[in-house]
Amino acid sequence: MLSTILWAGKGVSLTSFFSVMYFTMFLPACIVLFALTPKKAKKYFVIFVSYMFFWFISGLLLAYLILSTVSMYFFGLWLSKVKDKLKQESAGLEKEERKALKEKYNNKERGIVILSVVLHIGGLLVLKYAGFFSDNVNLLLNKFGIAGSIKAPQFMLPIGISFFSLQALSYILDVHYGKIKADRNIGRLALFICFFPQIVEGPICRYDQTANQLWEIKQITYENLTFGIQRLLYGMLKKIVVADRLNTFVDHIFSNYSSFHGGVIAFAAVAYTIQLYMDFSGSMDAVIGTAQIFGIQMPENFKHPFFSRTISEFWTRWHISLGTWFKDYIFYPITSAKKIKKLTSSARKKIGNHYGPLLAGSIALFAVWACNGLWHGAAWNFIFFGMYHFVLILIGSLINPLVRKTNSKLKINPDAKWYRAVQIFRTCVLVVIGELFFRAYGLKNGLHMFKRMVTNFSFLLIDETTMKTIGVDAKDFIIVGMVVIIVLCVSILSEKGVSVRRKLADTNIVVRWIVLYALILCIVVFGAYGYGYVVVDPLYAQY
Amino acid sequence: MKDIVSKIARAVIFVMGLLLLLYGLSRMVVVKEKMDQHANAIVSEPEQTIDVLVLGNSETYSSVVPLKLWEQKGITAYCCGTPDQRLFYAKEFLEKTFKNQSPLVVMIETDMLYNGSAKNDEVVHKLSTVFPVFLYHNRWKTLSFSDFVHRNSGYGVEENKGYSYDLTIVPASTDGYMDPSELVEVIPKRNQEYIRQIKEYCDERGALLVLYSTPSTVNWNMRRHNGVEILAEDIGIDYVDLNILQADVGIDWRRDTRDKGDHMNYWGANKVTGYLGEYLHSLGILVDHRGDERYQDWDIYLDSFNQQLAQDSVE
Repeated sequence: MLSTILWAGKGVSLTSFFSVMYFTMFLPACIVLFALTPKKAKKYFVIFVSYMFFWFISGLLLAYLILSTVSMYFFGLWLSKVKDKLKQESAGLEKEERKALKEKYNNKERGIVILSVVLHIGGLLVLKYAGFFSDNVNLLLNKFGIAGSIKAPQFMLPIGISFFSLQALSYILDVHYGKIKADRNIGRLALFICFFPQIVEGPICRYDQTANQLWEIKQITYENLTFGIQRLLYGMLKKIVVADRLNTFVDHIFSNYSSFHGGVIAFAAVAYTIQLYMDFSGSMDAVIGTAQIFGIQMPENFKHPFFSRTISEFWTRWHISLGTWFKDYIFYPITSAKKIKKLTSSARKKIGNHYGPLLAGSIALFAVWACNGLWHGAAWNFIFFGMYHFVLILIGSLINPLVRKTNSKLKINPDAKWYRAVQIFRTCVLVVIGELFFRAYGLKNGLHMFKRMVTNFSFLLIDETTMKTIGVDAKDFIIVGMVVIIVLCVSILSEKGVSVRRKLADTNIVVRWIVLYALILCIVVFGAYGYGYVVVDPLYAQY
Repeated sequence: MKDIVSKIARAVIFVMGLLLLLYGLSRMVVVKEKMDQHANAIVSEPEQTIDVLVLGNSETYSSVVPLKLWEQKGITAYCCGTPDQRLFYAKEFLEKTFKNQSPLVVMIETDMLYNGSAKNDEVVHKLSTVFPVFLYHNRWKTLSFSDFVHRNSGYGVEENKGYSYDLTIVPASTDGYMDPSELVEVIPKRNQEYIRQIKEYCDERGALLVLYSTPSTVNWNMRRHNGVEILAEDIGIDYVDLNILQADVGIDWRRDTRDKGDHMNYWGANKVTGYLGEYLHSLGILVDHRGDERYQDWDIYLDSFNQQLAQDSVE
């Protein structure tokens, strides 16, 4: 047993929520032991198992998580101290003096925040992007005839660093903005950041969303247990049956795209988009379901993104916690900066009420999408992915008045079903193109694939023999199609405000059990696991 | 209290129902074909007749021809090779074999030493011993009504003793193959631990454990050779790397491989078997059973194999 734990520390046993070790041993053991733990000790037990979970995956890199926790604790207290001091010193002062003092302390606070950003984001930059930056600097130097060879050290990345770094920073920034008070309880902060279901792929929670819930964690209830397990199973269906089954096909086409015509590449891009959605949203179902078992309400990270009518709407429904993080901590601070405000008001006077704020907004938007692209990975195709969405959203905003005018002239009702369907289809096509670049092995390959898709659109170079070589057949796609239809139906109902789980809970026990048995057996029989399949770790865990 | 009892009762009934369904599904999927039939058929060999047990992945059943070993040296060997075999599965074959055999030599093909043997695979494997549906679940693609009518029972005797006969020739490039290197590709610790356990198991039963590497331009290189050599030295066992000895074995990469150097075809396997036969003979612990009445079936199978070979070679 001890050796199992030690091996696990090297990241070979517990790779994700979908590893057999997780759902046959780790999670059941956690549930049983949690239920048996005395009420007052439950929160400490969750901290303990969360650290164990992290250790199982990243071993000694657990130190990063602990350092992150300690730093956010001290930065929070430091900011709080500055705020308290300002309060004390400004009591009884005249307005002008108070203003000057506030300015002085604001600068001090800004200094602390910058230090914390340098620590958290700087650390992330060094660990994740040092190689990318040094490679590009070397390339640039070589272009100018300077034989440069800056060698960046290779670092091991702890699991979920891109997620917990942002979560830690959001706490510090919220303290700075006065949205929350600095927490003097390091245990609560530790639990807020390390809670094991969210550590691998988020969602990136805010302190006021989960910290107190977690610290006041209660006994498992029957309803939470059953609802949580159902959500977890639904996630497994998406991930193991659809995403992992598509992986073999997608990986082969993206690795050997030059052997295929554009139609096959387009089909692979659609398949990848489905794979990514099923993988990430399935993982989120597992996260939210697991948290629900312990009575914790995690924020939703997806809201049926493929029903979006525009790209900007899509990003309010896909990876919601990342989008809102960028909005709150990059977009708003930039747009509310004094210089940008000045620019907005002068632009408003010159180019009107629509385009004026858009000009300033586009600067913030650019920063958001540059960060978004880079956050996903240290490669040019990710930066291109960010810029692609920046341009699409910007174009959308620019032509919006023209579209509205045209619609009204042509007497088109923008809320008509057919119009919405066209908009949804257009958004899906644009998303698939973006995902093609996102998945491609480098920007160059992405551009070649796109060119092939546009200039050489046919399905000629794929037949049954090729499919056999790839290791997939029509039956794989039939299974994928059937589950996609199920997910689509659930999404449509959910979009209409119907909770399928609640509906199911209200039906009689026979129907309920038939649905649950069907769900479990579907995963067991149609799941892409075991001999002939590569274990696919959650895709977003690598970002 | 009544509510809690009712909830627990419901949960128990639900789990029991699930187990029943898994059992039923397992029955459905195992009817198709016994998994790893060629390797598992070792259980059908007459008791105490196998002298050499060969374990490993596809490299094994593509490169050792037990009937040729019998023809040349009178040695009775059996290949318990399965696709992508992991060491935990190899250990199971070892234990299964020792139930009614006492092989004097156990040979392990080294390619599987570099296959990560994750705990997850072991758990799925253990689960599948109770509910085979976890192992055979992908058979839903090929199940038909006739599978339920003509059920298999038992494994039957495997005439080729685990060898997978293949005459296909797809030449290999040898660029960079076994280029000198001092580097070492370390064997995953978990796999090293398995080899130690297997060694201990063999020692307790008086069997000699030998590691060997099949010639393969795709899977083998000096870094791996160095890694296995260190392990073999460390635990004090023989290591025969036929990649290093390829000149002695006489491998011709233009005609001895069936898939560009990944696996041997029959021509390559015959050479590998010839070399291993000499090696096994040189150990001085194996008896030549040719002419012994107990082993007359081996002659029958060999005749049939040679006839098939002659016929295919003419074609």
